[in-house]
Parts: sequence; structure tokens; C-alpha cells
Amino acid sequence: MIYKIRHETIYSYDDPVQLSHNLAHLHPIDGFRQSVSFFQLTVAPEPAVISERVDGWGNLAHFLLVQEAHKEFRIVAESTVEVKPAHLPILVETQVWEEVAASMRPRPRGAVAIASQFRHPSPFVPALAQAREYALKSFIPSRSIAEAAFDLMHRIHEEFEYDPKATSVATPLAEVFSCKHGVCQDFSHAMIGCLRSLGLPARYVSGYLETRPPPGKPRLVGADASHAWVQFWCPDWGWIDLDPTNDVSPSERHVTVAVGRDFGDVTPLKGLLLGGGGQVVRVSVDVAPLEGNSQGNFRRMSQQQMQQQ
Amino acid sequence: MDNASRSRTIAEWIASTRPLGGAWDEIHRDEQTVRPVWERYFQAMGPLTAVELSQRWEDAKRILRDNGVSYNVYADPRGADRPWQLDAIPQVMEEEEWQILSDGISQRARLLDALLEDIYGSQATLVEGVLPAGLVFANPGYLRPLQGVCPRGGHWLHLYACELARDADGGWVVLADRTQAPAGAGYVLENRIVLSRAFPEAYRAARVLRLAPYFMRMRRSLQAMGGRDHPHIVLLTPGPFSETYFEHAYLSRYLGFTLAEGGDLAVRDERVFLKTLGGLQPVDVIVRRMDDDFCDPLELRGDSNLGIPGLVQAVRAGNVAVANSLGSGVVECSALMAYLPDLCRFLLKEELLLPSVPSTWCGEPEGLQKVLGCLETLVAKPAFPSMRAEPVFCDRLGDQGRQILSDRIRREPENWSGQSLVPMSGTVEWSGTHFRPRGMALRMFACRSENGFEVLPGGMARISNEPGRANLAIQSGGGSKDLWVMSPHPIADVSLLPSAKHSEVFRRSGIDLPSRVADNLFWLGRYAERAEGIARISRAALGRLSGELSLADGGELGVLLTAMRNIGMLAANPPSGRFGIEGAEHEVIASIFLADKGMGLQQTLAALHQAGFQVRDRISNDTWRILHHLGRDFAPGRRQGSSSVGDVLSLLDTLLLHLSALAGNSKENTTRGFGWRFLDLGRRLERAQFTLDMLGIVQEASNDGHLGLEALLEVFDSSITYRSRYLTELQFAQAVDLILNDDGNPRSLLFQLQALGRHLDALPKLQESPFPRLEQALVLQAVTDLRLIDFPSLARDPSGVERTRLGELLVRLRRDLPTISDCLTRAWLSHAETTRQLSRGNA
Repeated sequence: MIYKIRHETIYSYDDPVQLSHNLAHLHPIDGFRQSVSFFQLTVAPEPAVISERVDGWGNLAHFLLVQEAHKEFRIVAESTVEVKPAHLPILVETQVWEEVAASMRPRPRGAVAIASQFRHPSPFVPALAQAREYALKSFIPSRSIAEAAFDLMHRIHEEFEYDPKATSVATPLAEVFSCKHGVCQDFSHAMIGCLRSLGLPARYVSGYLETRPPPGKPRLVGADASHAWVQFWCPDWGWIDLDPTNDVSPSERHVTVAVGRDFGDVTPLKGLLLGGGGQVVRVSVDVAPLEGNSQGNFRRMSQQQMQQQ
Repeated sequence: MDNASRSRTIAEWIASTRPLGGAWDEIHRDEQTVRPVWERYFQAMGPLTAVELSQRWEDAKRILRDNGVSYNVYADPRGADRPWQLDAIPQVMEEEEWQILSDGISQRARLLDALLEDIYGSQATLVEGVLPAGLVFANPGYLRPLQGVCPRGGHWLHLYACELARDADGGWVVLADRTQAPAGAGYVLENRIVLSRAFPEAYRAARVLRLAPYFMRMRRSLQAMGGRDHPHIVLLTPGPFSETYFEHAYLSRYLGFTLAEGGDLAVRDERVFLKTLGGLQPVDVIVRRMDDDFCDPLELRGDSNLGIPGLVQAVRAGNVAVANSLGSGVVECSALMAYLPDLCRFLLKEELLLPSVPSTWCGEPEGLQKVLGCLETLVAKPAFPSMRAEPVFCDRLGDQGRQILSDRIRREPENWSGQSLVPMSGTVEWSGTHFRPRGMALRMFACRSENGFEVLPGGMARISNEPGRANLAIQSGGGSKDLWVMSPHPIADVSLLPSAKHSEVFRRSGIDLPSRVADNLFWLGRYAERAEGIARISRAALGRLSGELSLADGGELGVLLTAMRNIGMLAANPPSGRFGIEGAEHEVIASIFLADKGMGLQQTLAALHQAGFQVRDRISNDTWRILHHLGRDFAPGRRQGSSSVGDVLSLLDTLLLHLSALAGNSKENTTRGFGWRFLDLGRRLERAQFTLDMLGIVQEASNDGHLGLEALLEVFDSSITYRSRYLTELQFAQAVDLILNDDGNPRSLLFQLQALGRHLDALPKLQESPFPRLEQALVLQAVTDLRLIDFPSLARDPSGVERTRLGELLVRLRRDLPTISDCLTRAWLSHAETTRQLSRGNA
């Protein structure tokens, strides 16, 4: 599937911002199941510096420095990305989860050593006893890792309530666990916390969903903004995607932008400002199949997410 | 000291002091003989007796105090800084032994540098399993944004320190590595200066290796990182509240670097700049004394207020060199020690020369079993220093405590390591009256040089009164010793002056003064003047209370007390309970000594000291000594309550003398650069403000004559001038003319305003404009209005129209002066505002 993607973020400030340093993770990953044939970043006002770098996990990040005074900051990322379908192992045939956890402990080598970096707590995903307790109901002894991980995803989808008003970026994971509600980011952090509590590596994925569902399919939750889901490590296979918000295993309808330990590593746009006063953010995301690629060529309206800080 | 002790030579005394039991004895070879290196030291010291030692050492300790050598201890009830503790007796070592240690230390520094390169590069040590991956990935010191970065010059480690102790057989082992921002070299320098000054003959005779060449080469190597001629090097400090701020200021002065806080630096175009009065000046090298995770709120800790947004990107772009590189804290890790021998073979193809204290990381299952199996014999340490937890000496725990600790370790094994207890070697310490046995550990230092690392031929011995309990944190208090490395050969004299390479560059004080420094100098001036005003008015009031000066009636005193109430030195209303002279006396003395008075003397002196402390690197040693002396008599708890008026008066006299010395120093010994201008601006503004406050009160009080004029002239140090001019009874107009309008009187208001005007005109222009700025206009207006007051007419009719005009002018000036101060602050001094996080949203 080939998508044309447009991700627009507009910050409006009460007072002029003199200077802003920004770090953007807006370039979809080129590799794994994806190839990026076009990418363009449009920024207003024009940054004094735009530099591009690939980080240790293969993400492409942009560093932007705006040195001219402005009351509005607009950044548009446009890309064309081809996504290939995901293939899954036969779940019950994957390795028993306790063995996977054990292989990480004494002295992992090679790819396992590198994957093992995702088994440790991270700033947004601290080690929590609740997480382990929750996870063990799916990770019963001697169960295969993929089977248990899928079960965990089902349970989170069933037992956690999707509620955009309930949480913010600052809501601690412990609260997400005790109240069992939140958005894609909370669901993902919760699931990552569960996996890591058992010593299993898990990554946070930042990305997009196809905006309009194909005929006969339901619209996915989170399609109007950037989305988040999870990857777990399956030996002899690699990283496997799971989306606890939609209870699906991402394939062609998910576009990956960046992977990291948690939201903090791959925040689509973070920045530091001088001046500015109050601020309002508007984000809109549109992910449309390339014309002729699949269905209709009607004009697409993007939804806007308003956020008053 | 009894008589027998007084005449004992220190050699005899030290030789007969028995060490703390069980440990390696630094001093004695056996019951009868001392080790040859100590024999050499005793010879060098000559037949010095205990009483002579005692005298010399008291003098030496005064140098330490006067230089303000201190160590900030968090939450220390005694205040922000604690005096530095140095022992009169150095630790001594033969050059031969030092050379062996030195090879081991420089190899260790090379190894840790290579390990950093591997961790942030190919990670071969992890992929090959030489190092457990968890040791890096669970380590909060591993800074992911630095992964894949190649630091300018290719090296990660530039400055290194380690803690060493002797095991029971006398062999040296490393207790801890310091790679984040190794502290202590500045204290070593200061220790050396004090000790060599106290015992100059012994210092020469002992052929002690000099420290200066090391610092010269360190500076050269840091300069080479700058990549151009005359690179701009800054020493980045977290600020005056950091525990080793004294050292930051001291080293930056000694090495000629600019001391900068995060707020002084800014990133533009992927380059780092210093914010100065004249604009942004490029910075080439940062000597970092701030923990790396605090250094950039954009890519590292977002909650850091100390950092420089964009620094990581500037490093990545190769536009600035940082020593030590961001990320270097990952190898400052007790858990790493167990793997160093293997890592040394893997990375350097060498055998590790200098062993570490036996250590085990609990993050591997067998390590965990091993540690839990013999916990009672170990020190349980947090594996990573960023956890900021204390080591636990497990032999001191009861069964229950040990159980709690084991459970904790089992829950989070990766965060713990176990280390064997090292019995500290035995040495002695001079208590002031006798020698007492102590345990000792060493901190030694290395810096990058052209070929590898060079080790400081000296160091700092940390002493403790408990054998086997090396508490290595300087913060935990305890004493220090200078390490003397004694050479068999004569020592050449060296100094830090640049070599004979001739330069044709000449400079004048420029506009490259950091804005923060100008700000502190401005406040230094203000507080110094405020302290003087308060001291003068208090002296005038107490003088009248003591009765000696009571020529005039109680009215003068009443005016002074009203003035003190109006400017906030005394409460708005007299306290109930005590009345009359006694009540006033009590109130005035209390206002001087109480710490909670906003306009109290004690508070002002503390603020003055603090402002001076913040620019410790910018003010001369003489000025600093005065500042340091200033508040001592008024320090909290020093003399509260019971002091008699006479005592307090003499204290105030001394204080005013010191304040004059401070003022004289700034007048005669300070280059007329922008720093001086801001210092003087502060002084002039404050004095003008004080004059207006005082005059306002006298103006009201004197409606019916000359009440308060006497005191006014005294407070303004203008009585003599008045008397020599007029020889008559006090007249309102003449007195006010002298205090307001006489531009030859350095205490007059006009004098202050004219000085303000000159300073404002001399400041660099931020924007090219032919018109005066607001603050210039206000000063011009004030000067003109003041000169246009018709004093003859005021003299003819002291309560007529001119009196009203004068009153109005004073009111207006009292409003305008704060505006002038605000304008100055906004235009020149405000740190650019601090940055804030962009809000973030997601589905």
C-alpha cells in the first residue's frame, strides 16, 4: 500500500517567541517494511538551521532552530510511503516467554544484546509492580511469547477505556494502571511496562493510521492525529507490532515514523522557546492511499485537534 | 599541650604515634623504624617542635580562611559553605612509587576513553559479550542522544580522577573512577600553596615535584581542542550553590578561562556563544563541571534549568569541544570495575596495571548469588552514581537490616554492586595540640596530553577516623592532606606564565563581560553602599543613645529612628513593652544582628557576600579578603542580644573601615572596564536612593527649624565640611545645599547623578540612535532640576515656595531612580529569559 501523508502542526502564541529550538521526529522510517519515496518538511518562519540526523535506532530526526521573532510556528511534513504487509509467525510455535526473558539476563550477545536495551525501565515507563501483576495473567507459565503478547493486547483493549480527556502527556503510568483509561500513548506505555516487568524487550512506535477506512472496515481509533503502538521482541523473528488501542496487529494500515523506548524518545515535535506566553496547538494528520492505489479520490478533510494549554 | 609535648620534635612525635589497628602502616616499617620516605620528610622538616608547628599552622589556616576556601555542603545548618579542612602534615611518596601508580592511572584513563568510544560507537564490547549489555542500557548515565556522535578531536575523556587506597599488603587498589566532571584538582593547588607557604624550607629540601607543569599542559591540551589560535574556553559551572563552586572559580582564574553558568551561554547556528554586554562571543571549548544530563534541556533532561538548549546539536555538529564529553558519566560506575581486566585486554590489548577493589555487579545472576552469599562482608553500592544513593556498610547492619537490603537488591539487582571493604592505611593528623592516628585514601588526577594521559604529581589524601571506612565524597566532610611526591633529583622552578613565544596582541578591558557578571557587580555595588548607609545611620543613632554625643536633645534621635522605620530597618511601630532610651537601644541593636530583617545590617552583609561570591573569579584576592572579613562580626549567632552599646559602636566603626577599604579598592585597584562601571552604577544608585530617603524625613521633621540636620550631616560624613564652611549654627538651606547640590561633595546627590550620567553615556550602544535612552533622559532631567533649585531663596524663606518645589522634586526623584535601575537591568543585565518547553500533544 502506498500512502500520501500530510502532518501539520501549528503553534499560536500570545506573545512573540524570540527563539525556538526544536527536535522533530516526523520523517517516516525508511526500512523494515517501509520505503519512503518522497519527503518534504515545510517550516514557517524559515529556520536558521535545519539539520538532519539518523539516531541510534534508525530514526531520522530534524533539528530546527528558529531565530526570528514569530507568533505562529507552522511545520508541515509531507511524505509518500509504501508499506508492505506484515508477516507473523505461528503464535503457538514461538519461544516460551520465560526462555526469552532468561536469554536476556546473563550476558546477551549479538542482536539479542542490542534488543535487550528495550527491557529496562525508561523515563515514561518506570518499573511498576502493578504492571507485572497485570502481565502475569496473560504470561502464564510456559506459554509461547507471541501468544501471550497477543492475549495481553486483547486484555488491555478490553479492560482499558479509551478517553482522550482522561490523561495528558504528564499523567504517570501508575495512574493509567489504577484508573485504566487513557489514549494510544497510555495504552502503549502500559503494555510496554507489562512486557518489561517480565524482562522482555518492548519498544514504543510513533506513527500514523490510514485516515479513511477501506469500504466495509471500521475507522481506526486515533486516525486524526499521530498514533502510537508497541513492538515486542520475538527471537528468530525480530520485532512484532501490536496496537492495543485497536486490538490489531499492525500491517498495511499503520505507517511507522519512529521507534524508541517511550514517547520521550520519539516525540513528533518537541521544543524550547524564549518568550511566547500562552500557546495553542493545532495538529492535523491526513494519511490517504495514493490515487488509483485503492479506493476513491474524494477530497479529504483533515480533522483538527485543538488543545489549549 | 604540656611542657614535655611543646618541646618534642614532630619527627619524634609522629614516629611514636601508633596507627589505627590492622591497617597497612604508611609511616612505620616496623616497631622501631619509620619508612625511608618519612625519614626524608623528617629531615626536610628539621628539628621543628610541636609548639612551632602549632604557631605556623595557625597562620596557615588563616590564609585558607581569608582566601575563602570552602566546600558547599547541601543542607548544612552552618550555612552555604564550610571551611576547607587541611592537615599540617602532608602525605609523602617517593617519585618511584608515584611513577608506578601514574602508569596505572593513565592506562585506566585510556581504557575508559576507549570504552566510551565503543559504547557510543560500535558497541563491540556488548555484542561480543565482554561487557553485560544491561550495565550500559540500565545505566542512567548512558545518554542515548550521544549515540553515534563523534566528539571533536575524537576523544571522550580529557580529565580523569580516581580514588585509591592500599589493601592490607600495601598494594594500591582503585576504589572509584571519576569521569563525569572530576573535582578536586583546584583544592590540591590551594592545599599546596598553603602548605608550601607554611613550611617553605621543608618544601624545598624535600624536593617535591611541582604541580604547575601539569596544569600548564592541561591548559595547552584544552586549548588544542579549540581548533584555532586563542580559542575561547569557558568553565561551565552549575553556579555558586554547587558543592565545589570555590574550585570552579579558583581554577577558571588560575587557568585563564571564563567562568560561565548555563544561562551565560546560548546556541545559535549550531555554535555555542557567551552572552556578554557587547553581544554574543563564540565559545570553542567547554570545560564541564556540570553533570552531563543537565546540560541540554532539549535533548537531555527536560527539567533542567541549568543547561544550554541545543548544546547536544552543537556537539554533534562538531562546533564545540566539551571536556569531558557529554555522556562520559556512563563509565563512572562501581559495577563496571569487575569487567575492567577483560575490557582492557579486549580494547587495549594490554593487561590492566592497577587493580580495582574486588567488585561484583548484581545484574548478572551469578553476581547476585555471590553478593547475597557474603553480604555481611561487603559494601553494597548503588551501581550507578546518578542514583545518588549512599553506600551501605553491611557489617554494620543487624539481621533485619540485612534482610531488608537483600530483598531490595533482589528486586532491582541491576542497580546494585557489592565491593569488598578495603582497610584504609594508617597515617597521622595534627589536631592542633597533638598527633592522632587516622585512615587514609588518595584522590589522584590525570589529564589528556599529546600522548595519552598525564598524571598530576600530587593529589589529595582524604583522612578519616575509622579504619576501613573510606568515605570518599568530599561532601561528607573530614580532612584532607596534600600529597608530596618527593624526587631524588633537584626540582626546577616553574610558573604558569606563558612560554617565550612572543605575542603582539594587546588588549583593553572590553565588552566581553558576561551579562551575569555585570549584574552581580552591579548588586555588589548596591549592597556595599546599602551596608554603609545602614551602618552610618545605626552608628548615629547608637551614638546618641550612649549619651556621649547628647549635646542635642532627644529630637535628633527621634528623627533618626523615624528614618530607620521609614527605610525598613526598624518595624513601622515601636514594639510594646520597653519604652524610652532603653527600648530604642534594644530595638536598634536587634535590628543590627537579626537575620530576618530585610533591611537589616546582617541580611545586607550576607547579600553583599553572596554577590561577591558569585563573581569570585572576577574580583581580586584583596577585595575578596575584605568581603570575607566584612560580615564575620555580624554573622548569625555571633553576638546577639547582650552586647553593650559601646561594643556595638566599635563593631560598626570596624565595619565602616572595612567598607571604606572595599570602596577604596574599587576606586584605586579596579580597571575602568565595564565591570567597574556596573559596580559603580550600583553604588551611585544606592547612595542616591539613600540620600533621598534620609532627606525626605529631615525635610518633614525640620519644618520648624533645623531638627535632624546634625544627624543628617553626620550620616553623610559632611559635618566637618559644613563646620569649616559656615562656622555657624546649622541652617537648613546651607545643609541641604551641601548634601544635594554640591558637586564637589562625593556624598551629594548631584555628585551621584552626574556619575550615573557619565556611566550611562559610556555603556556600549545596543541600538544606534542619536537620542538618549530613557534612563539617560531621566538622569539629565534630574540633574537639571536639581541645579535649578533656587537655594538663596530657600535660605531667605525656608518654608516658602522653593521648599515646596524641593519637596516635589524629591518625590519625583524617588520615583525615577527605581525606573533607571529597571531600565539598566532590562537593557544590560537580565539573563535572557529562561526557555520553556513546547507543549506536546498526541492521540
